[in-house]
Amino acid sequence: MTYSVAVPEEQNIVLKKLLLRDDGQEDLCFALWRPSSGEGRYSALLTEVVTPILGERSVHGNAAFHPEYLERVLGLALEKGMGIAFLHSHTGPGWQDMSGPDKEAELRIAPAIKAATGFPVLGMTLGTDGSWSGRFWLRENGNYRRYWCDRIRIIGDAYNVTFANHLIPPPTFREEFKRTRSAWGDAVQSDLMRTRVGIVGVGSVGSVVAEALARMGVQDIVLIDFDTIKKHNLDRHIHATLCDVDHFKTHVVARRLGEIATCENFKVTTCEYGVNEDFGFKTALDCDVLFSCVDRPWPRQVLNTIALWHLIPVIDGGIAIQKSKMGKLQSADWKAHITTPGRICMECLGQFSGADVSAEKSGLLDDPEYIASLATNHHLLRNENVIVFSINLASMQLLQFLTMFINPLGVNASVGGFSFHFTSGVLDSDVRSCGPQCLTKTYIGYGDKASEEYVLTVEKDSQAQSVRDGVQCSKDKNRKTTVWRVLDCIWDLFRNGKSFKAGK
Amino acid sequence: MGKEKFKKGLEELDYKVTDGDGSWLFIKDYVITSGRFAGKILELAFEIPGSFEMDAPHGPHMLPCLFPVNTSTQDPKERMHKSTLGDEWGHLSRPFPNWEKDQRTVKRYMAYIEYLFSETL
Repeated sequence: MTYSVAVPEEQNIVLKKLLLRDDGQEDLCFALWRPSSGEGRYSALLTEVVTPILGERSVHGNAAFHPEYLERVLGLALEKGMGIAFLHSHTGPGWQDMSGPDKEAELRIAPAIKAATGFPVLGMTLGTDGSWSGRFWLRENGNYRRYWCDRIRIIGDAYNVTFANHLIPPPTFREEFKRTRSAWGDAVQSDLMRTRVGIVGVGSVGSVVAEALARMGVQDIVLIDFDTIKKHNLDRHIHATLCDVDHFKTHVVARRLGEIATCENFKVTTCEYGVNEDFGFKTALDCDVLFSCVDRPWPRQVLNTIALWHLIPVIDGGIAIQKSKMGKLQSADWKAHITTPGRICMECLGQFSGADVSAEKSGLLDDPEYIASLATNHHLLRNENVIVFSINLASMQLLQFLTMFINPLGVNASVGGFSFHFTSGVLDSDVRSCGPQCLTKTYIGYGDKASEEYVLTVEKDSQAQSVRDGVQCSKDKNRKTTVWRVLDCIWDLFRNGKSFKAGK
Repeated sequence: MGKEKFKKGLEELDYKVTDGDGSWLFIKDYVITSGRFAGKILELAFEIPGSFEMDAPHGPHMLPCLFPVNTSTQDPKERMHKSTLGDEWGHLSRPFPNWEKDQRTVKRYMAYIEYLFSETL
């Protein structure tokens, strides 16, 4: 298990004002958090700062809190069902280790906090440059043991992160990164490379995103998709060939990423589940940033809640093609945008509708009779796509991703989402906000609690399971017929009029 | 959680609710108050998403079926899907339009159901 903290930018600003004093002394405060539990990572979502009132703490070179402060915080935590974080500042920059007195202070309050709230105490230290360190104190065999958070993420229009270098060492920069590094500097490149990026949907768009990230040096990529390569994917999927038909998309892309990744210690994790399935959902929660490259409403809804409830920015995109009655292309539009607190959510943006989500959950989108009964111009029937559009959309999503890391001139917020209109050649930006009825933004940072209140995932999606079962059947059948499959592949190539020349 | 919330909302509106398997809820003796089928008494069934009130049910299932199953037409007065509850049931695939912009309550949903039966069929 790894550990992490996510702090919305709004709370980070409050904390910096409180803890980074003008007189240069250390200071302290408490805050409240909720858990977000992934498959392999436990995160604290720190969403409420409990500012000390007069007399609750003393500052005299070091800082100390009085019992009434902790009592008040305990009361609040119990009332809201939240965990407690104890935060203090140091007088130097960078990631901060703990002094002896720091450890004693956190160990002293750990039992009371655990007993009262059921959650471990989270300790955090702020450096003068805004860098954070964090640790959980977990009870093991009667004692409390410290577990460092490997990263502290600040979630806002810009994405800022402090890594614990002893857990996630800074990358070495190789010749391969020369041009990329020179575009935005070593600090950005280092953070980019160490960020765990998840790609949900590795079809025509997701495969391009994956390729770009691996070449840019991202060390840790997670691919989430239950689907397999079909022949009708081959005109758009940049990694798939005829021999990959019926193979999991994740495996095909992972194989390619292993060949082209530019960093040392490249790691790709594949997950053959949908993000609307429990395991796929939990795997997504292990990521720092997610690309939404799906084309169905239900996974989009899940990703929307991950972005706002679990504080994991999601970069979503979509393509819409309109044809005339004669079948000619009339218009093609695609948009890319970041879903994160402070920005419009996918539901309010119209990227999915509750009606379509409930249709999908009822199994209707996979019911051929239902699909056949829809009007010919129904939006659910629009599945046209072209490789050039997919590549362009992937590029737009990647640009949105980079605006979060680079935040050029601090103007990320005003950039908004991108919306490109193929017919007119116009690129718009979209800076709208959520509507007043938005339910998703009511639970920003609620993490596990919100996901328990609104059950958005299933243990196994029947459509996804039938795909997995099909692959398994195929593996069992073909275990002893590999040679026949290779011959089949060659025969298919000749039959389709392709030829290949032997190399010299 | 969604099913419990929806059931509570129906009971607050004085509907006679029974629990079905999984996510199903049934309402006995639903009376259509106006329109072509005014006075008809139906049993209604709803498949409640676990994420209610984020999502609404997809549309009512009814017993008896008010008119034959027919998905070859787009005319709402004739369009009826078959129901997973059995051949005697019918399913009106009529999701609540713009639910995400609405108040998202059971009361509003049932008002929509009344509108469906009274005004659109």
